[in-house]
Amino acid sequence: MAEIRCTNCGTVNPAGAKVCKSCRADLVAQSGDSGLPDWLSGLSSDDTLPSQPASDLPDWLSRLGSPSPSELSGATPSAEPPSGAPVPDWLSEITPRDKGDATVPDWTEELGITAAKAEEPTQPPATDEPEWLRRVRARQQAEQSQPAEDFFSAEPPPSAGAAAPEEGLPDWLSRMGQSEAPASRQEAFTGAQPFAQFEPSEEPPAPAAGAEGLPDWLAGLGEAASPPPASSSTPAFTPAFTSDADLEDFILDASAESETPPAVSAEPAELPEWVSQLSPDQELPEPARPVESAAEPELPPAQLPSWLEAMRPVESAAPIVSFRDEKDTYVESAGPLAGLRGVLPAEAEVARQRKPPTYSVKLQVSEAQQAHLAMLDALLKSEGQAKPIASAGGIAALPLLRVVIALALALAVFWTLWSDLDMVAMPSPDKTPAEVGDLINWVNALPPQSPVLVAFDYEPALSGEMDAAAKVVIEDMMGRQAHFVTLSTSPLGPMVAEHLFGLIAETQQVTYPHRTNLGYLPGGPSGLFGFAANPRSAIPLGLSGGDDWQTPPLQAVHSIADFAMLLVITDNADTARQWIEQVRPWLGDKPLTMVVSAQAEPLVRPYYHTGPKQVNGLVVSLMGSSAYEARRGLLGLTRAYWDSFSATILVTLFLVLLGGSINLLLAWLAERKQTGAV
Amino acid sequence: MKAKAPFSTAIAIGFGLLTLLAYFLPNLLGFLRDLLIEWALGIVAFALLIGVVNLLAVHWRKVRSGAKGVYSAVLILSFAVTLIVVAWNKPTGQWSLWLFDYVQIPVEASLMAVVAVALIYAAARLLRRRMNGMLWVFFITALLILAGSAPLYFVQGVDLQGLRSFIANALAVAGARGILLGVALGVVATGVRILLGADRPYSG
Repeated sequence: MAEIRCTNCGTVNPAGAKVCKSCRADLVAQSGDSGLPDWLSGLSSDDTLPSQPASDLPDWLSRLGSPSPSELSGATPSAEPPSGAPVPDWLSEITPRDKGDATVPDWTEELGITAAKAEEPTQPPATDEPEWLRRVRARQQAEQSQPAEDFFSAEPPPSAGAAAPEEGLPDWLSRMGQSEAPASRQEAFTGAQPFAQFEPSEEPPAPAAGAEGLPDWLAGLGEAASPPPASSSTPAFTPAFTSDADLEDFILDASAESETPPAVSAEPAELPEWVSQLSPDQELPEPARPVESAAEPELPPAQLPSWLEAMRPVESAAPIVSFRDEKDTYVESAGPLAGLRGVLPAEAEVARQRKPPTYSVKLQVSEAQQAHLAMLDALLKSEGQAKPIASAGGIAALPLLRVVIALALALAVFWTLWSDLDMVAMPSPDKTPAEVGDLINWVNALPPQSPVLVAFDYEPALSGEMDAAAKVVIEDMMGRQAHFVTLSTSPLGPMVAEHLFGLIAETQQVTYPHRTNLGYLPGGPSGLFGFAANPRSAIPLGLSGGDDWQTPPLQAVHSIADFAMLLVITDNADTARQWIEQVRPWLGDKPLTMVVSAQAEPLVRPYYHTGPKQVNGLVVSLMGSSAYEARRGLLGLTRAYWDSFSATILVTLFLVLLGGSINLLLAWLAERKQTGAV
Repeated sequence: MKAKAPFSTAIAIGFGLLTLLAYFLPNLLGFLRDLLIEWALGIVAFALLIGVVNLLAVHWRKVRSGAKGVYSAVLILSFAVTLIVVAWNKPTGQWSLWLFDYVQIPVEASLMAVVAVALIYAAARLLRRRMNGMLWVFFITALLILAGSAPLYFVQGVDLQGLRSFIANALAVAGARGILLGVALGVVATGVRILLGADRPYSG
């Protein structure tokens, strides 16, 4: 639609308008006789500009061309809506009321902007007024013959009188029509009924401007403003109708159609679609509410083009990942972050006062450990309890196997002793062990009548073995006229020494005179060390009670290194080790020799196999003494025991193998029986 | 009377350190070390006498209480007879040696003979126990040592003594040396603990 811009006030008027809707200037005259240049006149002409629908105009341009209240007043609404363009009820109801109340609203009266005042001729300016303005004023004066009420006095048909039904109106609109009583059609349109239809808010429209209902700023304007000139009075209504450009366009179009019936036969398509769907019988729908809109069928989701989809922000396309730590159950209880979860604590963890955790005092002990503990506890308790000695049940109660073993051993020992058959040959002198040979060499190297220290450190229980092993060595030394100085770290050692020398004397029928018994040396390792460091101080007196250190050859002995040889006779490995460790360093180059039992051999032999030998010669039990006797060609106690010893070992081997075989068979049968039972 | 812990600990550590330093400074501290050891020998001998008195006291209480007092009475009686004979005849006297030769030695030797029977019985029943590899090793080794200890009747051509010598001189020595090294380390550790006061066997 081509629009016509008024050259007087600049208002854009719709095409076909004959007077300016703002200043009521004659647009026809302007188009024909005007001061505009030709090119501008041509632009405003409908012939030169193609018709352009108002809807194609931008908003800002539509607002520029929005009809002013004066323009609306110039467009006389028709009494009846055209057949082709049905007017909604609200519009038909509004129009009669406007007729009856074609007066200036009260609030305009308060502002001094009344229609009567607007009719007063404006005093032309004195001299500075331009020519085009004077022409405009001339036209306005010409038009003043038609009062302002004429624009609103278009009598509607009686059918559309003031008593039009208001049932179709909403409540707020009905109240507005009753109480507010808009004074003019313009004000009626300010009620913005169509606007209310699109307004989702439930709030009723603002009450009509009254003396009391005006805002302060508007009331202030009314008090301070002087009556404006007539030329500027009509534009003062413009803001009331420019609230919604579409509404004004619609009203303007409707007014134009009602004013010119042939032209009103314009296509209904020019009306808004919602207006065309309305009918006089149709009630006005309730204002759209957000809740009610949800009941409407859902619109299909918008389909974005692929290129636009690719330009979406990553944040909107990426899945929302929760950064909340689900394990963190701490909820802030104080401060501005109270109630939030997962916030960092304001104070250190250690600074918080909390109830200390409760730990169980019960030990975590497994069943195996409990079983071991119970076993240990029972063992300890049994140590403190006296075990009752089982009463002897006589001979029948003795284990048969043990009796058989004892009888077999006794038979082997006594039969060989009594038979005196020499069934077992002595070891060959050529096969003398090295340790025995070393001891023989050291004995042969003894100077005549040299002092030899002999330690008797074996118990009487093992005298049978040890006497036989040591007797041959002692007798060999006796042949060298050695002076024996005996002592012992065992309380019974001095008696054992006397027993052995007595045995030798019994064998040789001669008591050996060169010997001194120093008795018992207490203190164990400390005593040995003390004796090695200072023999005289460790044992100042001999077993006889006299000062034996003053008898020859002990007069020359001041230290242990003054002895020609040290011979240790022991059945205990620990005792042998103490002699080696405590005394051997004090001997210097003098030999340390030993006669040990079979049970002490494993721990003594390593000292013989050292680099500088810590044990210079060694005789082990009857095996060593038999080799010694064989080497020396003597017939000693070992020869007497040799057959019995051999026979006893043989019987022992037989018993162990026989008993082991029987028990192995019994164990196998028991296992087989148990396996078969399973 | 028992000395208080700090006092007794200080004495033990002090004299222990003196004795230890004497090994490194024999010319300076040797005489002090010998003196301390002589004191120790006298104390140990006295301790042995205290032990004998305590043994008599225990058995005397048993005799007075009447519970199995027969054995305690025999012990006390034997002790008294021996003490009287040795004190009167001296330790090397004829009667003293008679007691030793015909009482002490036969009793102890008989106990050893019983032990021999028990060991043979245990060896015979050894295979009835749960058998494993080490048990067989132990069993066969014991038999070889016994067989090699003396020439056997009716066994000719087998050098069992050479086999026994190998076991005793090689295998047994190797194991014994390990044991001796362990014992030596244990003795050193015990000495250090006593010198540091960690072990106080003197304070009970």
